Amino acid sequence: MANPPDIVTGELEAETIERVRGGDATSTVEDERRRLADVWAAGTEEPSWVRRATSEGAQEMLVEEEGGELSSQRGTAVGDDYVLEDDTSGEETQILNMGPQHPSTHGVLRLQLELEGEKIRRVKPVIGYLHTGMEKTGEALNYLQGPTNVTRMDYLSPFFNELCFSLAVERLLDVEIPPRASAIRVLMTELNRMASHLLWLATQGLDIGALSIMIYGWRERELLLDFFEKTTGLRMNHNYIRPGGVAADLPDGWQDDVAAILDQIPKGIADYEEILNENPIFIDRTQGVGVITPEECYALGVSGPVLRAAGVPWDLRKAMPYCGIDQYEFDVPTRTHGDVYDRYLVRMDEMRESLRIVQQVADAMPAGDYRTEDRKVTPPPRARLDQSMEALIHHFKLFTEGPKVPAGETYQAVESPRGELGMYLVSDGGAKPWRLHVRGPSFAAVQALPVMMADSLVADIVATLASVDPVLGDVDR
Amino acid sequence: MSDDATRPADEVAAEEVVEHAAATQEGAADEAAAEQELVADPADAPEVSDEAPEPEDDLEPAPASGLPDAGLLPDDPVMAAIVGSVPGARYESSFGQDVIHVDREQLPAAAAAAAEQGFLMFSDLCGVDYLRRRPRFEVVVNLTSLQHRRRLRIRAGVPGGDPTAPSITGVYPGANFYEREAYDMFGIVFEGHPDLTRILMPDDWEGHPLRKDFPVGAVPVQFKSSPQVR
Repeated sequence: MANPPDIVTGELEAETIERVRGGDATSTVEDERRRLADVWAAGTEEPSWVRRATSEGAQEMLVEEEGGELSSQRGTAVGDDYVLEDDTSGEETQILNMGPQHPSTHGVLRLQLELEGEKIRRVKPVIGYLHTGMEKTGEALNYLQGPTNVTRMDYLSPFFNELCFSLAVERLLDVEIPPRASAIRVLMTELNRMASHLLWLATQGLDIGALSIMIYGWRERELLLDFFEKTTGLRMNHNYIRPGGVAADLPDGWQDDVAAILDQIPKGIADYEEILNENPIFIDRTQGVGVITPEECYALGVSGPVLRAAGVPWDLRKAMPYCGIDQYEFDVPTRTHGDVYDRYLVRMDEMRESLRIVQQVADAMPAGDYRTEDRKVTPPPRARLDQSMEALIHHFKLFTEGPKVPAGETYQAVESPRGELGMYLVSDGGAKPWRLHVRGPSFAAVQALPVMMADSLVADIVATLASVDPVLGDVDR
Repeated sequence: MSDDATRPADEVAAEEVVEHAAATQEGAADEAAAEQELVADPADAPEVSDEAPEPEDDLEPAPASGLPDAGLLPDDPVMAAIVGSVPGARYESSFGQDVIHVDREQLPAAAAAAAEQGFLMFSDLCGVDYLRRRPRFEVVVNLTSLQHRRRLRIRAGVPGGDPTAPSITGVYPGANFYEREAYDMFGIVFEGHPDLTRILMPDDWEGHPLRKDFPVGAVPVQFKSSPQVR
């Protein structure tokens, strides 16, 4: 700590002033002198500027006495389990900013780390760098345009965003979805779950130095993206699942593509497990790292593979089934330790379970229409427009105005690859949502990072961060 | 380092609250006129406040339209226990989902009662701006019970003239980020929140974007300026 400035003579070291001011040109030296005099006159042992070294205004990491990030979790099962060791003191901590440009932060997440040597004392996630006001945009788009907006939120699992939005709208509309549409939805979302987990595996490997895994993960994912492109026209942001059904039927020869996927992906998974499961470096980097307990998951709203790796068999596909997914046989894989390694194992097993579901869907794909016949949401077929004036009017109204949805509010959640993806939809009876709130699984996961990272080493940060699989488009929306 | 950063955060937050309340009172007179301009098509706004007589008590949430069974005490013991333990709570079934309306002062009590009944998992918290309805805002809390495999939604009205609500971070720490988001987007101040700052918008952003009277496309994009170094 710097020596107290000499208040009597008014002499301040220029260096001290510079550090305290943080290069802000608006406050004068006189102001600083007065403020510092106050600080020292108050007799505080630790002037507030000692740890306030990030010049971040309201986003400053607060000193602990004022209610730092972790102390907010007092009074519950969630706690700051850091124990101050005798040979260290608060004066030896430093704040390190990781991100938002750091390559391992999966986008533009920023973590303020308070370090004591190599140890993390506190973590404060700072988000918002990718905020594009998609909830506000959602209020300006009608219910047919809505999926184009929400599909861009969690860009690694776009089908789930579209599905969640469509289910919420359909609940308000009270329309029946044909079995083929539901089966196609299950097929596409489960394939998407695999694609997302494969990309997670690639980046998890990349982040802890296993470069070959990165290449492998992307190789298998390409198979799935090719199929998505063939079906929807796009590799990402498909706008394929829409209120009332899906945008188009599966392409000719889809059985062969799915068969190829069902043939290739298990081989890939076996390869990865052979590389990673017994790999001493991988085990060292992941076992016992980033631990979170079920109680902490509940309190912080963490769901998905992170919760299941902590030992809770909670999966919305089982607990609150949608799209008739309960008619397919699959298990909910769980582990017990709640660390990075267990999350890896859970995701690998989930890919196998998704393959099981895809196999069942492909074997028993119902015939019929791929979207509802309800003219409230589905336009009449093209041929009808030449014959019927009503059909023409319906068609015109649907595409200019959008379908009108009865007033009401509902919350719909689906099990996305990252956990519970929920949408809270309020309709005023018009053709656009009055309010569209998206509860992203990554938002809750980022909030839980301080609990997982507290008391770990700096090197474990990237392993822990990658293991919760945050998508910043989902966090910031 | 800005001036604000050197002062205790609660002082800054308190000042913001005062400033905000003052601004709201000043703007109250213009609000009706502004609403007419901004909501050109009356069909765009929820059709509740016009027909229903406005309750004297500003805190009483208006019933959602088209839902006749609002206010009935539910049959099942879990909901009945929660409704029974919170003064002024009303049960409603919204499209088959359990909803409990409470006064805003009762939010933490309702959350605690729900936690008591097994709704251990915090799922979601968000604000809604109904603009022409009274109370104007609403705080919506979504909770999940793994034990009962069901959800519960707690809705509490927040008046536009005094957009404050007690924080439920004491019951569910996971509400921390969500309350910051609701504050950021709607200007709802959660009393007792440990660190109520903006979370998605820049710190120096003016206004709360998800409010219905926040202009869209009519103002230049605000950017956080960098300090001049030379």
